[in-house]
Amino acid sequence: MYDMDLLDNTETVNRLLARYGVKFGIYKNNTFKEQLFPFDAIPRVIQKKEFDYLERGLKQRVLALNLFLDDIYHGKKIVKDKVIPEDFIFASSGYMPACEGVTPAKRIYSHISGIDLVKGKDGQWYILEDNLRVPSGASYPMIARDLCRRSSPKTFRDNLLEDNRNYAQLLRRAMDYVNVEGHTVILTPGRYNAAYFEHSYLAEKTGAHLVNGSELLVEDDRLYYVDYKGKKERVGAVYRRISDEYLDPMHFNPDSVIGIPHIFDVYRKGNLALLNAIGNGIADDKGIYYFVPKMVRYYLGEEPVLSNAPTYLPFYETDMAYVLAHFDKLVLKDVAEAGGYGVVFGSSMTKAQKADFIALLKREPRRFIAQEVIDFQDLEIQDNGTVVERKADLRAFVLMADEPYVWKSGLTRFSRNPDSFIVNSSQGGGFKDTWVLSR
Amino acid sequence: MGRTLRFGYQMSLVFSQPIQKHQFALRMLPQSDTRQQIKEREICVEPACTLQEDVDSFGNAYVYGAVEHPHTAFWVEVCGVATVWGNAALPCQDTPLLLAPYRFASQYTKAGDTIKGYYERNQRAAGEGAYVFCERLTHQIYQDMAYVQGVTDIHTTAEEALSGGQGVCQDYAHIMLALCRMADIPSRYVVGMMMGEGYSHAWVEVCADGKWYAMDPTNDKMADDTYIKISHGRDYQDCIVNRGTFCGTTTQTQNVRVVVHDV
Repeated sequence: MYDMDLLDNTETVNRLLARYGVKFGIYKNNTFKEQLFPFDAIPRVIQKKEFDYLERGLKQRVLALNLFLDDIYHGKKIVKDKVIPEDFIFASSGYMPACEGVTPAKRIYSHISGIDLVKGKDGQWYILEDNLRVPSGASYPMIARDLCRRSSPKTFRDNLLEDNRNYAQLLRRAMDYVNVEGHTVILTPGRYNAAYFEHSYLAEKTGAHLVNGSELLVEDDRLYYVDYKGKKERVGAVYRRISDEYLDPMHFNPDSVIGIPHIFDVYRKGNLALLNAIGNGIADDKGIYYFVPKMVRYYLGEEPVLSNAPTYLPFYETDMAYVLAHFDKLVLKDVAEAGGYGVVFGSSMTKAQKADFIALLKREPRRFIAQEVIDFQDLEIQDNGTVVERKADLRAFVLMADEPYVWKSGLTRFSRNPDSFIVNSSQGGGFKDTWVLSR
Repeated sequence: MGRTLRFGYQMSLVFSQPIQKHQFALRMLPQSDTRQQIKEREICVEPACTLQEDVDSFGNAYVYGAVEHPHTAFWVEVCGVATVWGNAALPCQDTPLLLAPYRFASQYTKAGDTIKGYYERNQRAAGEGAYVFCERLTHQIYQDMAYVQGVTDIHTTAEEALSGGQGVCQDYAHIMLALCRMADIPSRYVVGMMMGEGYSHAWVEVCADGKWYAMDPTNDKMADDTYIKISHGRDYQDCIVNRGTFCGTTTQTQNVRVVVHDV
């Protein structure tokens, strides 16, 4: 279905990506290393019908997660009704008491959601995790598509696929919808951030100002952008690419030098929209993940369209018994970790490691979830002139304005290592474009 | 009859080099509740600037502002008059759910092996009321810890402080909170002023039978009518008296002076 010139141009596209600065920065042992994010030209292709199904499920899930966040920071009905045990909320580091009673503009919490899915060998899709804080990755398939269209125009003339270059419009719509009054800016921690390319690319494509913390100023409970001449202009929406704890040294981590003092006060008083809202960490906690299907039923009164990977909470005695009995075939995840860290496979542990881990699990059952290892479909990738198969996942993006909108593309990440199931880009994997067929 | 106290809380920062774009947030305003009535309250900041006042999600009053121009000293004073009713407890009408932040371990009060072992040895006996248990903990911590300044700092957790066996009021309070929360008793960190201390003080409030009781493990007693409360939160982090950021290469010296005396 795709032309050979699409594949033949892989190297050119990668060279251009490098020139545009499509890199991924990684901190390892306290040193910052930038590495290329290798692009593989063989796209992941999703049929229209299949994507329609994903779209329904993703919209439903994000709607439920938004209602959950609103509930947790207000009435807490879901805890009162004992659908979720209170330990999973209040003992979680993602819960931020400072956000109690704070209502973001239009009651939207997760404007940009990155939902990670995998497709099993059985053809079924499973949700792996929700990312509702600062999910990154949309810019990579955007620019890759753009370059591929130029290098291989015929491919895109002959195939009827959804244009994914509308991500910027979707993002702009999500930002404008909640903008309180004034400019829209994208707040970056700076060029040493892993996703700096994305920050600058999205700013360019949406027409928002790209700013760092020192260019924003709080005065009289309003946020201002200070331009190079010192002129102040009101800011009504900030798409911030800084995590909650670094956002405001007056309320959160006092040592932060990349945040804006008092921005939380402005936000709290309704004079500013933040994308995404503060405190979202409580909804994408790996422990809370288990409860998302229950949220869908609780808030929407619907059956979830998309399933989670089968997950067990050692916190519950029956689940603990199952985990201990089937330890070797499960994957265990530390709920506090992200980026592919804190993930261990029961089957790959030595006897001593296993004994240590089980002791830890019994001491701190709340800290872990266990999941069945999903045998997910391999995708073809090019490897030195041959085609090999590697594990891959899909990050789908849902943008919320007056209604949720699922971007008809997504970031497909694959593992370079044939034995690895971990496809996170922090672990050195590559990416593909994701084609959604339009009919 | 309450006891009427005059209080003054002064804090000064001296910078070795001029700093600018100084932003600050001060949690040093005592508020009226059923235990204390604040009759006069005044705040002065030098260099003078516009102050804004707000209440955070824990219910603490705070003021914030900015001094843009270069300066080498920052000085703030809160003074006023309060009437305090001795051992009176505060009503605690919150539902268990609203108390949840005070029931689970926070950053400074996470239990490690030392706290867990200590808890085992001092466990709440069957039928022992929350109040009695907390009172017993107050005595116990006072006995087992040595008040030594300079051994711990603002980053020391309850676990670290108990392992070292030495610390100051902040550490005593964190240890007490860690243990109360293990026993599922809602408890919160309190910052305030106390007669004869000369510095700010920290103690805890524990929720027992629908009331908040103020207990001071550092001095092995209930907070009486010589204590004026300023703020409360899950731990030290929620009650930081002075938060600030500024631009400049400098070393800073902080001085705090707290005076509480009878009118």
